[in-house]
Amino acid sequence: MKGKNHVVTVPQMGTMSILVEDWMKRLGIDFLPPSPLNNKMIEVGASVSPEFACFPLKATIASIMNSADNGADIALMVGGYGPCRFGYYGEVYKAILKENGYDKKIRICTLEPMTSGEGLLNDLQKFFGPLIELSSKSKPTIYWHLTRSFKKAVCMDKIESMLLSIRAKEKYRGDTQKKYDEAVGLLRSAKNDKELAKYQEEAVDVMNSVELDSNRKTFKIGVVGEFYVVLEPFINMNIERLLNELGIEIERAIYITDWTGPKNAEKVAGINNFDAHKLAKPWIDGWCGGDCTANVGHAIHYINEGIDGIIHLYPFGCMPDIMALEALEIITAEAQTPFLSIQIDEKTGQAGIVTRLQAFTNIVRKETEKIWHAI
Amino acid sequence: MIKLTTESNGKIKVGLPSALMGYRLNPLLDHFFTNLGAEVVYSEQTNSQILEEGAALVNENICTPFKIYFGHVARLLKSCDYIPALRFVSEEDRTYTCPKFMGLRSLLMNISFREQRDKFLPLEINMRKFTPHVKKGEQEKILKAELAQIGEVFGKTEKQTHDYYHDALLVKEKFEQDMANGMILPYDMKQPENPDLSIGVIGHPYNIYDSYLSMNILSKLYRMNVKVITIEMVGKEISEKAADTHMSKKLFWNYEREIVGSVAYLLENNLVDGILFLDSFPCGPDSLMSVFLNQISNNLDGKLMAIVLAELDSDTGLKTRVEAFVNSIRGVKAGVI
Repeated sequence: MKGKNHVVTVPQMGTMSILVEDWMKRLGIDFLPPSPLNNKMIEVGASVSPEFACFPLKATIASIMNSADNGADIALMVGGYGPCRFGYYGEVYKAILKENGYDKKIRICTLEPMTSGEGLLNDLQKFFGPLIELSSKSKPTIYWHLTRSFKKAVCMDKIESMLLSIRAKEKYRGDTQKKYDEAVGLLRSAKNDKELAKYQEEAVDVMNSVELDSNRKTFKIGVVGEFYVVLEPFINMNIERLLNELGIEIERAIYITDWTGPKNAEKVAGINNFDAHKLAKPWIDGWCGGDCTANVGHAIHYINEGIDGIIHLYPFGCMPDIMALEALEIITAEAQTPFLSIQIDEKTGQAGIVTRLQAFTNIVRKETEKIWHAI
Repeated sequence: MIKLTTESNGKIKVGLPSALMGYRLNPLLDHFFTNLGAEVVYSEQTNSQILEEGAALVNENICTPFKIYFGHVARLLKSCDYIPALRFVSEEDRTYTCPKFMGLRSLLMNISFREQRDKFLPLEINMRKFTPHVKKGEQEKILKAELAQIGEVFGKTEKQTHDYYHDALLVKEKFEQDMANGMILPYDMKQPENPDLSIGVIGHPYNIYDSYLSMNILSKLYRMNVKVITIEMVGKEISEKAADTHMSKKLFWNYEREIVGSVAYLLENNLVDGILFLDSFPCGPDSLMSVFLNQISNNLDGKLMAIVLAELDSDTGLKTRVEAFVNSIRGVKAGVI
């Protein structure tokens, strides 16, 4: 792999590329940020993927093929050891790229998580191997830079969580988004921990400087679901912005760093996976892959905190989240919390989603007001 | 697999659904519960009412075999005292089944049949030796507690129950070996006497042997004088080895590993003239496997046709496709096409 400068990319998923770009820059590797998804790309992705494959596969393969056309020659991907299909994406990409003649243009490097059970050395090699080849740096150095980039990404996620609640209360539409872009720009420019700490405070101030509409009555909705459709705004039709504009504050169950970080670490979204697992135990009494138990646990956590409604997003055919959906339907019915589940695939249109969200918001409003009358 | 319910003889009745993983685990469960002193009752063959009943109990996006399974359970609950509620994690080290199998017990006991949860006997089938985020010994502890609980129902000691369970595991293993060695044909399958073609019918056993879901594909092939080879007849050991050599990353799905391996093994050794791959709508792991199966069969110059089984009433489409497939292979063999 030496002798030629490789250009690395990742599949498009929310703000993931910012994290990886920062990390790659620190390691001295060229990085090409993936282009934002569009309908054309989704069409291509759907045409090359198996028909019943989950939707995130179709979207990410499209993103990789697009980046290959734009000059990237290595795509980084995360692996896994099941049972969710996500763990095998890397291999499926390779097969699809080969079928379509893209295997000469771009190569998939899968970073496997440290849970193969084949010994620590093997695990370390499977995670760090591709990066050592690319950067000729040692494992501790690569890991150290990852923790720095990760810290930055956590700050960004915190700012994003502010965006999701402040945008619902803004006086002038579009104000918060502008401030958010400014805050993210600040954080991205941080070169070391000291600067990051300084910029983080500034970024929080920037977000708090948004002029709020004090007359507006807002409600709070929890968004749970499969991570890809929750984190990628193009895929979920920017559902969070739509809800915010309808005057709904959002509690999101997963952020980029929650997903990439260790399972037991402190989460931007509030509770970690183990606590969520405990909460979900009376319903789903064992881990069954993906975010199933985490989603059920988060929904219960939100209900306990008195949230006004729950929205569940999942892609067509998602195995873990269908299990979660079964549980969520009963849990929310028992707690009398309004619940909306949206299945997303390549044929989902924005108009349908908007209508459903408006109807749902009306229900949330009425339900909440009914409780006020009773008091 | 069908045993008719006999007159009540005072024994505790345990119902085993002839659906889903029943096709893998019923020999084990049958032996285990019979030894415990239970009367084992199998559910009747799948029919459209069973599918309808099951479909009403679960989300519409769940796969068809699951809907059928829930229909079987609903039927059995009416006539039986207990039904084992399995959390089926894996039959093999470092593999999983499907997330739905792992959450099946939760669906049965906590969601769909909540009012009758006392009628379920929870049992975790997990033969993994290592699971991430699970402490060592935890798995054995869970199994021990569950076996003790089951033993209590039948008035047996913990040791007896444990022994019966381990005997049952051996029975299952022997059953699988017998099928792989050709000593017995799986699940009342009939083979023609002088077949001129052999075709691999590959897929999950609950897709292939359930005559309602598969629309009698096996008897259709029998009438066409075609010998059928399934993954059970290839055997676990051979198929897993073949899968590991053909896949660059080890497959972590128990069944898919056997499916991919069987296809590779059968084509590599020229044991079949063609492969029919049956998968059910919308099977998660199988949907990805179709990419690799196509690749393997192209590399090995094999003939492969994939059929998706859905909740259809008419078998005309399937019949036409199978006939065309068989005829085209026959034509190529005879040099006509």
